[in-house]
Amino acid sequence: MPEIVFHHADGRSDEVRVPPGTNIMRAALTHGVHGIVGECGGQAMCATCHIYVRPQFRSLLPAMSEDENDMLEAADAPRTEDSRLGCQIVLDERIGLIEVDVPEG
Amino acid sequence: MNPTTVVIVGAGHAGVQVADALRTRGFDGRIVLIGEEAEPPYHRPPLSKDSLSSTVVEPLPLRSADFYRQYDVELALDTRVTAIDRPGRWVVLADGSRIAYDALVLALGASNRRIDGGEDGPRGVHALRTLEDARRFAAEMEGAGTLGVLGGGLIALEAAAAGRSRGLEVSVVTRSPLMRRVFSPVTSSFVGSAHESAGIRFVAGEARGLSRREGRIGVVLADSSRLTFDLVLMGLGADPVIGLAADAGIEVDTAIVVTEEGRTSDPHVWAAGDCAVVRRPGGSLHRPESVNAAGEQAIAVAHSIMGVRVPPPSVPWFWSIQTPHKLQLAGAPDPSAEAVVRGSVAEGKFSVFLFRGDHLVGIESVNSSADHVAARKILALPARPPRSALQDPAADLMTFARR
Repeated sequence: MPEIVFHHADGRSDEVRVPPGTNIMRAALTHGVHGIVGECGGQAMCATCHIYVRPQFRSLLPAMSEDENDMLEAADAPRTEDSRLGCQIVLDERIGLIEVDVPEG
Repeated sequence: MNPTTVVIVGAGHAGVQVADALRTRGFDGRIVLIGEEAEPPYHRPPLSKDSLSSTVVEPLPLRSADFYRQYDVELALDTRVTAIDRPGRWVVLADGSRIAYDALVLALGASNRRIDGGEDGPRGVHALRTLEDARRFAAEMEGAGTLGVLGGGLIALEAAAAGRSRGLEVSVVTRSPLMRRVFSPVTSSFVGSAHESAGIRFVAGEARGLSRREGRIGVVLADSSRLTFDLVLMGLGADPVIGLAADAGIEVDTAIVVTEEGRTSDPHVWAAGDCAVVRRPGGSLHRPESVNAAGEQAIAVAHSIMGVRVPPPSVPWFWSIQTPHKLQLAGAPDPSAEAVVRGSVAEGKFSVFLFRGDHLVGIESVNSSADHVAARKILALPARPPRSALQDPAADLMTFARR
């Protein structure tokens, strides 16, 4: 099962394992990861599941849609080249591990 | 004075948020959260949207399983409250047992309107509220040929679009303009045309009753004409659940009447979410029926129970997925306000600025989520940008929002 490590600004981290086909927002909500809200239920409409994907995992990611790109401009935390919406990243069997940083709330 | 036991009846968005907000703000008494469904609390909005895209519906939990342990919330699922004993400050459960409260929160939600013959149960007849409803509907869509959707509101149209995207022949039976209570005529007609070009048929009429014939569902209209479908979805709106409160002598109107802090007519009882209607100091009644409002009211209730000042409300908003189109509204619905379009209706990507005079009151966004996020920030500003600036198509909305 794919593993996600959520790193928090205070140095803590949450490590969760989820079935293939799960997106990062749902994984965070299911496991109570702080700082990821998923207000719109995963429709790329609210930017409350904004995360930073660590660069070494970037090649694993699906391409970014125009909607996701627009929404990241509107996120509360600053956008960087590592910014993605958690709801748009579905973990499949190819992804054994991914590490992300949760924006400071 | 802080109560020692808070009992919350209803484990939807509002109920769960009350529990969360109480603990987050340091409440250290007992919290009992009572829900009628067996499933741990989950998000309802996806049930009429992406949940319907396949035959298997997986709930999105409102909180993790750990949350209830970590926050010491006693979750009583599959449990129904049958009465409130106000003098004794008890709630009575279906099995006859009682739970004492110092503060009681009613977060009972709403129940779907149905028409004759549309009672729960028979195969082919559906309404959408619970996970179980969505599971049954999503499963029965597989292999069905025709779907009749009764009603032209948000949920009805979401389900119609979801059904069409699964290849069903979909007819929407409605008498009124689409989504007329919430969206401007511009957005309403865009959605109607978009659905029509996707192959959804609109039938002007009012459904009065349902009948079953040889495994199919007949719909009788007000003019006595009949339509027949494999499946029928009733998307006729919902009524607040008020029976418990009314039976206990708590003031109800169309819903349980509360103050802006969520207080009912009983000083030990609060209410939040779809079951409540807020009476503002001037006497006007407000019932926004949205996830955002449920959450805000729940937070207000938690503050009020703890005797601390209720935070000011944020900008109201909600969303709808009319597959494949995304609609969002920032501000309170105001369909009759003056509508100024920014963007391209023809290309299906635009926002509608709603004005009362020169005053911006809301922004509807169609496939323009970034506009929506900017809109929420703009509407929260103490001084809103002038109308002329907002109408300038060259202006970047986020620059107003970041001021």
